[in-house]
Formats: sequence, C-alpha cells, structure tokens
Amino acid sequence: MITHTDALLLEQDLTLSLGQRELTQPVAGQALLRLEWAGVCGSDLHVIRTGDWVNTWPATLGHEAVGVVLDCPGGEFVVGTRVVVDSRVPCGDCHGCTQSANLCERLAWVGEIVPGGFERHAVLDVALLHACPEGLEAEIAVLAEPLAVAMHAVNRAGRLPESVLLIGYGPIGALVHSEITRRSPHINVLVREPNPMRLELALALGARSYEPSHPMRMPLVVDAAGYATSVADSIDLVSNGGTVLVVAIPHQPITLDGQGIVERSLNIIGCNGFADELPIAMAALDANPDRYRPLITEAVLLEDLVARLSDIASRPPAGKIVVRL
Amino acid sequence: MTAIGDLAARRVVGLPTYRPGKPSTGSAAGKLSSNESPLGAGPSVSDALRAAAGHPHRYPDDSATRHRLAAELGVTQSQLLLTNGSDELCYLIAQMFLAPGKRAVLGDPCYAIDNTVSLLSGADVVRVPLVRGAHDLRAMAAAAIDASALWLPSPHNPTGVAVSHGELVLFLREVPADCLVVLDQAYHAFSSPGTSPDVAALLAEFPNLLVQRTMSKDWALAGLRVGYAIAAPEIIGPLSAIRPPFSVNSFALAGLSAAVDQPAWQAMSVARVREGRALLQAELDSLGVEYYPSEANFVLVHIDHSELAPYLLEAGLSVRSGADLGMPGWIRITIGWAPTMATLIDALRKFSSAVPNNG
Ligand SMILES: [Zn+2]
Repeated sequence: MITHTDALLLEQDLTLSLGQRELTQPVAGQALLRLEWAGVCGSDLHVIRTGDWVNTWPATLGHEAVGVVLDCPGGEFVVGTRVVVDSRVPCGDCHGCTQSANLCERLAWVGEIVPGGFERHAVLDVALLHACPEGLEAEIAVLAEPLAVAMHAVNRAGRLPESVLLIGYGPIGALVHSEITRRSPHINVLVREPNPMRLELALALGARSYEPSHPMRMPLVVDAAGYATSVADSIDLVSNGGTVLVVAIPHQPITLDGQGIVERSLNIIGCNGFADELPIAMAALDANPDRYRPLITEAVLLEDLVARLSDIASRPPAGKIVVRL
Repeated sequence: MTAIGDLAARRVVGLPTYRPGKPSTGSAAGKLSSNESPLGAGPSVSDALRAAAGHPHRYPDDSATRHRLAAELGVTQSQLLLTNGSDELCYLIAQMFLAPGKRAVLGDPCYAIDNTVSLLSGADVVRVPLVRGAHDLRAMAAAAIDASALWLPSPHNPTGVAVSHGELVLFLREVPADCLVVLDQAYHAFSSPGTSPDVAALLAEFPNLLVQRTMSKDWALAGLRVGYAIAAPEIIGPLSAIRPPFSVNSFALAGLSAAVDQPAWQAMSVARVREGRALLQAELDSLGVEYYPSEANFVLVHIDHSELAPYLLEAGLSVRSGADLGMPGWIRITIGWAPTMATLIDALRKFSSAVPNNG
C-alpha cells in the first residue's frame, strides 16, 4: 500500500521544497496514479511568485500531468492504463457549468484545489482522467492539456485569416502556432519575441520574425506574452475590424483604448482553459507525435525541480519544461 | 566452400563487420546509440520527399543541388562532390589513393569505415594511438612520411575530441604534400562556436586536404544517405570520375535542398544538442564519472556497458558499447531529446548509487 509520495511543496511563505505528502486511499470513483511526467506552465510560475489561487497549503502545483493507473476501486479504468489529467475542477452547480466546465463561475484547477502533478503519486477523481490512445508516449501525452488550451484559443478566434501576428513565443504561443498551421499549413505566422532562443524555435517551426522596422497591422493578433502592455500593443497592431485573442494572463490590471476598440470595430477575445478539446488534443498528439517533439526543450527530474524553478527568471527555457516524476 | 566462394571470402578476410547501433528496448526515442538527430529533419523535408515521389522513373540530376550547396558553402562546384552518404566517399578515396604497397594512417581507435576501406585496398595500415581521446598529431605527421592517405576525423568518433584550427594548420604543414589528409567533419556543427577550423582558409593553403561532411547528423538525413567532399578541383575531378554516375538518388537530392533551404531547423536542433550535452557532462562531473569533453553529438563515458545495461533496459534506453568502437570499458551516449536525456540521467544516478567507484 502506498501511503506517502514525494512531492514538490509550496508553502504559504512561498518557500519551495521537495518533501512528502500523505496519500488518501482511493475509493470508488477515484484512482491512484503513478504519475510519469508533468509540464511546467506559466501559471505555475505565477503561483510560485505570488501564492495566488491556492486554497490549501502547502500546495503541490502542476496541472499538466500524465500517469498510469495503479488502483481503481470502482473499475472505471483498467490497472495499467495511461491517463492524462483534466486540469479543470468545476463546481458542477452554476449556470456556467451547464454550458462548459471552463465557464464555471467558481472554476478551480488541479494543483490549486487538489494536489497537482509535481509528485510521484496522486489520487484523483476518475472524472478528471482521460485514457491515452494505445502507444502514445507519456513524454508527448504530457502536452495534451496545454495543447487543448491552444486548440480552444484557436477555436475562439473563429475563421483564421491568411496572416497572424503572434506576440510571445513561450510554450503556449508555440502551441498556438502549431495548432494554426496544423489546421492551415499555409497561414503566414509572424512572431514577435525578444528571447533569441524562443525566436529560433519559432523560425525553425516555420514562422517568420515580425520586423518592427516594417510595422504592419494584421487581422488577427494573438497575445501570448502577458507583459504589462501586451494587450494594448496587440490592439495597436491589429487591423480595423480584426481580432485580438488574449491567451496570456496579464499579471496586473491594464488600461485599454476603449475609443479605439469601438471606432476600429475590434474583437477582443478571452479564453479560459479549454472546453471539449482535451480528447482532440490527445488524438492530434497521437496522430503526429514528432510534430510536437521540438516544443519540449527541457526535462528535469523531480528532485532537481526546486533548483530549476529558483533560477527560471534569469534562465527562461526556450520551450516547454517537463518534469520526470 | 566453392572455389568462387573461397575467392570472395579471401577478399574480406580480416575485415571487421560494421555493426550499426542497436535499437532501444523502449520507444524509438530511447535510441541513444547511433548519433542520430533526436528531432529529425525539418517539416519542409518531408514535403520535398513527397513531391519527389512523383518522378521515380527519372534518373537523378544533382546539378541544381550541387549549385545550391556550393553557394551555401562558399566554394565552387568544381570543389564539391556529392556522395551516397559520406561512407561512399571513404570507398572512393581508398580506391583512388590506396593500393597494395601504399600506406594509410589512422588513429587508434578510428572510424570503422576508414579502417575497412583502407584494409580492403590492400594498403599497409598504420594505426596511431589516441592520447586522452585526441589524435596524436605529431606521431601521425611522422607516420604520414611515405603515406598516401591519412584519415583525420575531427571531432573524433567515438571520443568527441576535436582538433583546433591552430593545431590543424601546424599539422598540415608537417604532412607531405603528396599525402591526402581526409578531414572528416561529420560532427563539426556541434562544436562549440569558434572551435571549428576555417575550411576555406585551410583549402587555400593545403591542396592535399579533403574535407568530408555528411548530411546525416546535424541535418538529420541519415536515412537518405548524402555526404560530400570539399577539396581542390584536381582531387574532386578524378573522384567524380570513379563515382557511379547516379549514386545520390532523387529523394536524397530533394531532401538535401529542402533542408539547406531551412537553416533555422538545423540551428535549433544543434542548439538543443549542445544544451543536452552540457547537461549530461555536468551530471557526469557531479557523479564523478570520467568522460571526454565532447565537441560532437555524443559523449564517450568511462562506464562498462555490461554494468550499466540493466539500468538502461529498465529505462528503455540503448547506448553504444565502447567495445564495438575500439574503447572497451566505455560507452558512447548519443545526445537525445530532452525527456530521453532526463530518463538517462535518472538511470545514471541509480547506477552510480548502486555501483559506487565506477569509472
Ligand atoms: Zn460551476
């Protein structure tokens, strides 16, 4: 019987350590997982800096996780099944929930309301688990959750124009790019990204660099950067009648040009998590895993995660960091 | 044995057989044994191969690709020869410059194909032992007196140690002008920036230098078999005369052009390999395991393959046993995709804590 698991612990005073967490025993409707890989998301880095959104301390973050079922008392999953964790924990009881889990008025996330993926074992409700297609590598399946987010964002944008400006080429920007070109390989994607390693990845994956010397408004601008003026910059760079898709969370209140939004007939679109895209993302990963391989640029062992997270601001990764559990 | 079989067998007696790297026990991503590119070729390469599939009835024409590559390399077309992998080039060089009564100089250990073609030619083979993973250039230059060809892989496979530009210039000044020096740069793209020799300057000064390259490593076209030689027209002309006329096929030509047209993919792939190599070497430092600091996409590590094998099996990984490469007691680890390398590092730590004092 497994009673404890190694886990990354975030205390309320924001100290990080590798420690142990007690595991409850799974009951009917739950499963015990041996987690294999978890992805580091920008929102994890936000919580590490701020402690925002966490309900119970110490927290174990990580909402992009894949693992294998070790025990499932209700029999919903066969032991040994590889599963991806659905990161959303909706209340199930509000008007938003009647439409989609990501529209829940009290939406919480794995890693904030329940312990997340940066641990070796987890007990989770089976409703949060999706069986992987047979043969999908765990190292690729770990991208399912952020890919679902990117797919949802692209769905929210509606019909795609011939040219897109992508501001920010962190992991979610890269996945949005990948999803746009998966749907329409010939769309011209321009990228504005100051980090040379990230720009190099964008160019390698077929994007072009947005040259500030030739400013040009574009019909769709995706804000995947989330710096203080990134929404305002996106509004500056979008064509009249065009769309700004806000994917990155701004970390402070922002000021917008309301007159411009009205007079230039702009669409400003937000997107929270994903709706029904998670199984679609898993199928896309399964159909062409090599397409997604370059997006994972760094992998750390759980025992090295505290050290890596502590220098992440001075040494940002080129792409997605995944954690081997 | 039949008389004819006996004749054939006598021709290859003493020749070592080339053994390719073994597949991993887990997924294809776990194969860290053949120095292949972990991310593969860029997406435009598969598009180009699909397009080339429409014309299998046509003989290949390499002129456009040769023109494109020569421009890329800053050499003339008369200085460039495409071959079916750089291995074909080894055979052509041996056929052109080696024969019974001639002498070939190699490092020890050396790249297996260089040794095979030299032996097959009937030449006398002089092997000069490496010193701490590096070519003993002084001893090799001395052995090159009266030799016809000298094989110099840099970075060396399997040690990963490279010869610097300065060392190379001094060495080439010592080698007689009638001995061909084959500088095999299969792995040069992975060298630290600034450490790779300036080929144009070397070729201008040393007409007996031939630079050998492959599209199999940093350009990730190993399955297409394309390599090339850069050398003086006086060398390239005769080599191209003995090369089979269509040895580089249409798919290889299409793949090469598409790859060279998208240099960002190669730059990104190489950057990932350098990062992975730095991480692995830092890990080996902290575990106290001996290795040769590498300028290639692999690291030669002083661990016995049979001791590590159970840990690799458990992790679904394969690496190359040094015994296959003339370095018994060592393993050669190809730098793979980041998650594969994390899995490898986990296995190395488990091995190291269970088997202390290795290496
Ligand atoms: Zn709700």
